[in-house]
Amino acid sequence: MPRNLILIKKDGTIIIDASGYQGLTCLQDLKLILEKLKQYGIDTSILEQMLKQGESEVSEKESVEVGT
Amino acid sequence: MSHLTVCKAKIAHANKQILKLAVEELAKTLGATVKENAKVFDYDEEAEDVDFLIEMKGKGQANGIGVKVTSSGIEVILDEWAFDYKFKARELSEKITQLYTKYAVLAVAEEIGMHVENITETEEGIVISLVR
Repeated sequence: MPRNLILIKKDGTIIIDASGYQGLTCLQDLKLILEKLKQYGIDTSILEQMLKQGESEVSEKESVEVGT
Repeated sequence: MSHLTVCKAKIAHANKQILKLAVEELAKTLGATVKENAKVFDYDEEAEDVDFLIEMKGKGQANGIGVKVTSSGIEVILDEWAFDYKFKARELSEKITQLYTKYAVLAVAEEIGMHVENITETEEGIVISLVR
């Protein structure tokens, strides 16, 4: 079952841990969540992103800025 | 495939309905009530218009914690001295921002058809579990 665990820290950091998705649909949900948060006045900058496959983390680690 | 994403959030144009939920939750933890479109007074009775007032009696004319939406975010106004520094505007601002984000996430979840599985408060922060 696709699940997003969202940790909201006091300092304004939001950590989203997505799991259980097929393919890259998790990123579509992430984009949707961040876009919708912007409609509520919350601008987010992505500081770090790690893609995971199965149990082991693989490939990408990126730092992107959006909506600042 | 899944991901772990770390974001930094900044509130630019707060939604008053969402902010009201956040302020009400904070007020509840302080055992206080919330008044909308009120004036916050300091010790000397100098007032400022605010969107929400968490009503509490302080020294002199101080009547609580004011919260207002500004173009740059959420502003917390109070006379810290009149409450013996029991409350710090900066800490309250961080808490309200955290609660605002929580209620915004819950509103977003409903909009995009995700089910809220669980909400917990840990030492690290507020954790919301959303499932599809």
